[in-house]
Amino acid sequence: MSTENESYERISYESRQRFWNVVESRYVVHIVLALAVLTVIVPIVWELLTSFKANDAVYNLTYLPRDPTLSSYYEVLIGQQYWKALLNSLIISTVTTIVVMGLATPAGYAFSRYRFRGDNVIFIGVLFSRLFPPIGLIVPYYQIMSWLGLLNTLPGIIMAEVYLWLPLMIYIMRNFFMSIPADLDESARVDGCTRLQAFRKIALPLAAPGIAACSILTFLYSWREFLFSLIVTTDLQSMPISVAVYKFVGDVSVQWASLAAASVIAVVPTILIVVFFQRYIVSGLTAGALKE
Amino acid sequence: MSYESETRFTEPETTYEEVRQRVSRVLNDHILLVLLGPALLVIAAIFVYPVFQLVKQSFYLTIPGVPNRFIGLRNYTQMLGRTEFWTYFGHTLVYSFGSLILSLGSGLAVALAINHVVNQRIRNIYSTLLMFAWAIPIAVVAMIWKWVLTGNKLGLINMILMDLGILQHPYAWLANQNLAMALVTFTDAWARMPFAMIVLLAGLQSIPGHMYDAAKVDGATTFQTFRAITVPYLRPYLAIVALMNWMFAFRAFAIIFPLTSGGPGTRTTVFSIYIYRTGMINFNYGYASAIAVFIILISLVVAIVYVTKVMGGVQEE
Repeated sequence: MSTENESYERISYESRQRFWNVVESRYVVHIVLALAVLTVIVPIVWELLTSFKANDAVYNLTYLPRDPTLSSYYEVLIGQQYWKALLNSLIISTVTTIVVMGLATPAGYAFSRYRFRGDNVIFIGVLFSRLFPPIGLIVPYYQIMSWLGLLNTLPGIIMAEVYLWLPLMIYIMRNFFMSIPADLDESARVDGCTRLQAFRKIALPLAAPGIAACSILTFLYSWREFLFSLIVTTDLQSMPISVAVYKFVGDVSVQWASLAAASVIAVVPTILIVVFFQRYIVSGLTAGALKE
Repeated sequence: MSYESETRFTEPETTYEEVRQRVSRVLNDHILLVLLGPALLVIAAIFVYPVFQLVKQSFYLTIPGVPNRFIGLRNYTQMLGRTEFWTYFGHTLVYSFGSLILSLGSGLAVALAINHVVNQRIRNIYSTLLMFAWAIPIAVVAMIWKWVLTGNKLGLINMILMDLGILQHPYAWLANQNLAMALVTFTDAWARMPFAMIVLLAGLQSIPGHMYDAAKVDGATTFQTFRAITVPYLRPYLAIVALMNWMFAFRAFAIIFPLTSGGPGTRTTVFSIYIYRTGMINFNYGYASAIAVFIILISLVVAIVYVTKVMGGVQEE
């Protein structure tokens, strides 16, 4: 420590600060960010460029598509019937979002407002079920689904998605409700509202941004999910797009342009959601990671 | 006659109102059950029951076509005695810690850089573009990188390197024994970096600006300010990102499985692939359950650390 101080004293404050000014300068900041953005964007753009090539044209080894075409999209969506997978994904994500939010919103409110016997224990239980490794449950899930006859069905996948996202959304909704002053509910109760009315008419409207954030997150998470959809489905009748894209690899010779088109189809909705709802996603992710 | 018709006329309305009130009273008397009951019931049905089934099964010998037989801890002793188990444990640790270091390091660098951008619009553009890596489906992340790293001359990396004259022949990146693990780890970190960025950015924004002004007045250099103000404020955020990214990388499946399926050979076989292979391909449910219980126990330890960190705020209120 003392040698460190001595060496610091030998160099003048100005020259040290000049060095850090360079590190902190606009150029360095933007170079770091540009490198990061390139690492993220280049593979995605490459996939996009490939998707506009015909399957044979991939072998021309050009970076840009020479004759841009939508034939790969047509091939995938109509020829390979991937429109079914796209529709499945939409249904799964929408229904999952409705079910999860319908259950998580009142539960999150209850955890934020009421003290009851065992409340902490139950809440920690919810937290644990959210941190539980889902990979551990693939075997029992596969068995239960086959007992119930839910393999290769949309309800089977939706059930798994609800398990995956409900505990997290309860936790995030609780954090959002915690940020709304409880005095508002109490004054509404004094004014003659019932408990249920205080929830419905006071807290619920105020929590709208939180509900929006959680809905968007649930939709995105279930759209992105791979593992349980892979376990539950084997055919395109019930397979979501995230798994359908992977199924291209199973083919003997990979049709790279078609694979790229399928990937782009799976990616576009998620990117649109990020572009339009970034603020909500950030607030949801932060509320989900941190304590209130 | 008229009396009767009158009662018949008024009766339904009063009972309807009565029923409504009674229902409302019952609902409000059992408010917790109404609000919390459905969610907890669902969690019990689709989480607690499968966990019970898993733990029970880990004590059984399961051979397809033969009735299950209770064998006590034999699945566990057999598991711990196999060298492959410890090899895969090692792979899982390399993968999860590698991904954690890469994602936390890059996430911190990016968060610090974005925090220095003054223009709000440019900040948003940067963070939106970087969040793409987080938003796209995980299996598609793997497919995108598989396409970039393809071992023949079609892969982007090979194309670029051959155009630059660095490579004469296409190189099979993912078939290399040592590179494969590094590449799947990198891909995992690529998808996990934005989460670190978002949480750390929230941490940076929680630091009051006057702290920096005071440091400047006192003549502290940027590095001293960073060490004395930024790092202490950021520490809880760093801890939470580290815990979560490690925990999620430890169990990750959707990157490795499409990219290498655990290969070449078993070089990138981590626990999640091991469970999938044992349970879903070889149908050895009992043994797969024992591996799963092991992963769950490790996750539980980390989860306890996380929960005590997060619940700190709950106890205080």
